[in-house]
Amino acid sequence: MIETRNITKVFGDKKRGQVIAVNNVSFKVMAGEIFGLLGLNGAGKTTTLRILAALMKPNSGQAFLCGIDVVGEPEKAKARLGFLTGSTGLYGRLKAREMIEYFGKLHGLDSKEASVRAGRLMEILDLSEFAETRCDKLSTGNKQKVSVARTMIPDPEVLILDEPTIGLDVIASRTVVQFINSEKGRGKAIIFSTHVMHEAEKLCDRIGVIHRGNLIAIGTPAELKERTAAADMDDAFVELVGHDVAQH
Amino acid sequence: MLRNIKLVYRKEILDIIRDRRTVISMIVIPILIFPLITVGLPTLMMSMMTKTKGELQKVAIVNGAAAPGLEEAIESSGKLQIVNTDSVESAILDEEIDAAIVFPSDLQARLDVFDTISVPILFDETENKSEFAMQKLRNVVTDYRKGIIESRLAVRGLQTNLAEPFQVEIRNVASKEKMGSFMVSMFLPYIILILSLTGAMYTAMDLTAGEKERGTMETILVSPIPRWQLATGKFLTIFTTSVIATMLAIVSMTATVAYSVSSGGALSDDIALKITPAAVAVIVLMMIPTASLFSAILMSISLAAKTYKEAQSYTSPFMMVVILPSMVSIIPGIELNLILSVIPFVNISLCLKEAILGNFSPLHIAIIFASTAVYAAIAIFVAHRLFERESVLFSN
Repeated sequence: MIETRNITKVFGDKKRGQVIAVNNVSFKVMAGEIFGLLGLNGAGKTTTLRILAALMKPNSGQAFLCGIDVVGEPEKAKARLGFLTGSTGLYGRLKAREMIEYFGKLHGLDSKEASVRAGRLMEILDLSEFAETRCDKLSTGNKQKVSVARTMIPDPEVLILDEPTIGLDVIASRTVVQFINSEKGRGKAIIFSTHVMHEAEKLCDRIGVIHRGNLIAIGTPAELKERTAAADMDDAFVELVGHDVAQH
Repeated sequence: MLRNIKLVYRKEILDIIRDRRTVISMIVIPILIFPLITVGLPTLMMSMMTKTKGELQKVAIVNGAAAPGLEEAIESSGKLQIVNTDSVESAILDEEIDAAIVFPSDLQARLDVFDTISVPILFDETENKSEFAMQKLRNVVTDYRKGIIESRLAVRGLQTNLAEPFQVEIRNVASKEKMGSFMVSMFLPYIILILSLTGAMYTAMDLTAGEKERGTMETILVSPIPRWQLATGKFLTIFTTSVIATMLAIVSMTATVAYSVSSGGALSDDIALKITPAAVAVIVLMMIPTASLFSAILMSISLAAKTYKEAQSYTSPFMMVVILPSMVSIIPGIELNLILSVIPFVNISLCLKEAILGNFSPLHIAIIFASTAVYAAIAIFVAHRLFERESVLFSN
């Protein structure tokens, strides 16, 4: 469902010259699977996800969503994709209902269908009473619920979540976590990035650890802990990253 | 394709009309600026001038005793008050008095030998009050001088008009309307260009840098519509606000003219406003490529910024690039030629000026329209290319 084949992304930086943000990264995520991308800030998580979401083009390698090449047919690939970040990304001056319907229509739904689906999603997410409230007047928790509804309105097969709980309070994070679990149950392929270890351990079927652009380890949380002889994911992560740092 | 562009356009329009900044720059300012400048400002200035003119001004006379009867003449003019002071020049600069007249102490002796005497009036040109006092003093002294001539002639039994063979009279043959067009043609092109620019500016910044700042750029780019369609929807929104601002200004201008005609047709005794339908048509025609050009340039500039604030600091220099050439309409003596017809902003400013004055050159109009359209097309192309660039979209 989600696949990267040897993707590499190089940025030109004024101070540091050429920076390899993502180096030869390959992985696959199956339907009904949650794959966690773990790494420090600047490790290359966001860039990897942006390449998958056709926001950026890799310098080399390929990325596929549902078998569609994201570089070759970005619009077709994006039609299968739900994308969510922690920075909610809402238009403050639009009302919650307008916001959700707009993204439905951008995905090709007609006005009637967009309205029906938006109504249903708002009901599920307990947002109905805020339907006519401008997004900038909503609480952080409700903002993230609107983001979730916006992501889900086309009922995408693939979900890419870039640090979806960053900056959110406990209640708002919970909304996101519940949403991720229920979508897994519906057979979606989900990839999400985080640096919150216990969240990754709790949610993910498999975890990839990315460090300085390289995918340095991949496996189930249990496998990674076993490999590093660590008691929890925190220790396992530090062990993996520390190992790599020592090599540099 | 059209469906997507329309979808983006409708959402952006809905979004920006809920923004107070856009509403002010797109609707409020364009409606108010013309009546304020053509009626409000002159009325205010006239009333200030009349008030200052009517005020009592303080003057000093040096050696006033040497000119018998002058002090009485000054005081009976009713608008001047005589004050005694030692050093007149510093008293004027310190605003203790407004003006002073200096007679020589031996005035009478020199008058008797028919000497031509220099009588300086001192004033401060940077002070309105001082200038009025100078004018009043000059009038009184001129009358005083006339009195001396008359008494000299009378002594010799000669008629008064012997010393005045003819009087020069200056008459302005331009009609009130022509005077009005002349005044309007100087500043109106400039105002229209600036309104078209500011009308587009806030929308351009909001839809690009503002969107990056609020984190919605990433979200919208992940939607499955091609980037060029998104860019087109945004461009059309910016273009719309620019056109609305300009059109409202033209409507407000026409209404002001109509009002001034219906209320006697004159702003003052010498000036009336008159703008022909042909002139309005040329203005409307020219504003279409101009608004496109502004919209595309502002969109490109603000797209390069990470935040709204940064976009403001990028667009300010561009405002100067527009303001200076637009002011060419104010400079007298510059007329359209083939070279000026292809210089951006200069050409539009001069074209609008000529149209308001009633001069229409089809060749110039065609060249200006075509060249501006070409510049606009290039700017739209650049804006679309920038919208494809990762380094621009994800500069944060």
